[in-house]
Amino acid sequence: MTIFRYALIKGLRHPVTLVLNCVAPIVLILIRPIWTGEQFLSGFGILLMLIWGGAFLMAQGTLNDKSTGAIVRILAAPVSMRDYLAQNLLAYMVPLTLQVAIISILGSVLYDWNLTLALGLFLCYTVFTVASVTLSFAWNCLFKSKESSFSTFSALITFGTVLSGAIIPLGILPIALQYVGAIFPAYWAMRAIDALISAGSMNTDYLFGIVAMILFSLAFLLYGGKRRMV
Amino acid sequence: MAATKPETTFYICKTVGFGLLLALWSRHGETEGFFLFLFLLVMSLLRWRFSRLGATVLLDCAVSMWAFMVMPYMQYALVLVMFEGLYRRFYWVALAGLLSIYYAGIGRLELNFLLTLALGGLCGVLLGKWEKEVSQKQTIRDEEAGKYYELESVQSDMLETLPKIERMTVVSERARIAREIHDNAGHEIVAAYISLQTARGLLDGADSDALELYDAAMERLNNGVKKVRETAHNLQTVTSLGVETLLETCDKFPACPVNFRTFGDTSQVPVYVWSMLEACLNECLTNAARHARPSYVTVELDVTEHMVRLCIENDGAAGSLGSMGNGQRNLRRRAMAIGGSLSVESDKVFRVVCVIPVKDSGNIKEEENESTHS
Repeated sequence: MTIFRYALIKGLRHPVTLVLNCVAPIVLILIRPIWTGEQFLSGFGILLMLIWGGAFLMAQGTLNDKSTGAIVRILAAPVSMRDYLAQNLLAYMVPLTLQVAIISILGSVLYDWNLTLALGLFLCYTVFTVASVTLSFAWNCLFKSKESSFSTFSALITFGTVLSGAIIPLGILPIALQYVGAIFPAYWAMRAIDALISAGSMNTDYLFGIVAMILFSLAFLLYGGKRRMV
Repeated sequence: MAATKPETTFYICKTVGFGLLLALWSRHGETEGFFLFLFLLVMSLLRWRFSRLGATVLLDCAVSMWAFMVMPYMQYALVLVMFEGLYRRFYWVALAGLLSIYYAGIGRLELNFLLTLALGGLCGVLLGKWEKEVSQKQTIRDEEAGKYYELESVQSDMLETLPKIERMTVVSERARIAREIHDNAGHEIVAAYISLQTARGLLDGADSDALELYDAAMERLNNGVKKVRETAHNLQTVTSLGVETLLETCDKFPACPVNFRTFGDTSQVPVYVWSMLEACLNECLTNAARHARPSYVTVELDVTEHMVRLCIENDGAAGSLGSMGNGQRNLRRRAMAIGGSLSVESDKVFRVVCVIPVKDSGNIKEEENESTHS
């Protein structure tokens, strides 16, 4: 698990990543109005965006390895590409999953989330974490330099934020745009969270959202896995 | 500008198709419809990633048929499946399309849909034919390139072998001359010298001048005998030749003991045949050391009046007769070039047999006479 360890260290070494993945979610959960519905902005949606951004910054490690040629040196060792990718992706998911677990526990303590809601949120955010990491990985596979990947991903995340309903309610968008966001996993995560909060249980809508995110993860993983890394 | 490949065209069409399907779904926004879209997308990516899973297009077909009946607005998904199925030459999907149309009733279907379905199928068939043609051409080109490289390899092998045979011929001829001098001429001269020494005792009463002359001649003859011995000794080669080389190779084999046996008169084997036998033995022993773990290797050299047969067998690679490697193919070509053959068989033991015909001296003389007369 050497690759996993170094991927984890490299991923969390950058101050922005550290703040985004460790400090920001804790600060966010402490802002009561956005979690109790007293504000226009939803804490659930903002947390989704934080996870998405954090996953992208973490997943830039593979692109970094590709652009600096480190991957060639790594693969000179008896390590298969599958092992390299599996350990890297796992390293990106672990801090985000821990963060989701902490948020779920703190939310239960601070805002009296019941067990179903806390577990439902944990599952939904964890699956979204997987989808975000695989999306970021697939996205990074398209580019050769970090700069171009970062700039285009900024545009993508902006569109994703608007069209998925994470920040702005979809109802205020024109009808033509209301379903475009479905191509982002965040849209399905928001739908699952809305279904969970409104029904108070893991109903069909919630499960649809989870399954959609799993399918997205699979699609991104297949796409990213096919692209040449070396 | 690089030529467009059929595969690239297929993926462009497929991507456009998915875009249109998504646009169609966004008009209704039903969750089930999006799941169908997502399922087809994942399956397409799966086939793109693992090309051996081409047959999963039939699963897509089944799901699309179900969707065709349940969600009429997603019927265009069948166009995508039809396109891919016919491109991948799974013609069953066309039957599925016809069944769906029959089930829905042709009168109840939109003309646009029927036209799009037909067009999708036609595009799939044409692209599939194009892809097949390109891949056939590619296969032919690869085969031709393979043959070319093989011939090039044989040629370079031959070029490497020719100087070796030349050198071996020189060394072998030198050894033959040394043997002739030592065994025939040398012995005759020594016998004459001994006879003359015996005769010296009978000449005691002869003229002193004649005796002096006789002794001087004997002295010179003695010197001559010494010179002949030295020359014969100096002419002897230090390089091992013929069967000695094979024996040396077998002795140096590190993986396991090699049992080497010869039958017949090996001195009659021409030099070019030794070169072939050496190459064959080296290749076989190298292969045994690299790819098999033999507990024994047996080498038999059988020389008859008309042919030489070298049989090498080991128990390490028994039952593992795969395709011939480059080395063995080159050896076979070399053997064929001198009228011989090389065969490989693998049952209880792995056996390589090289048979090379040898022209006997009578035939050679006849050929030489014919060439002189002509």
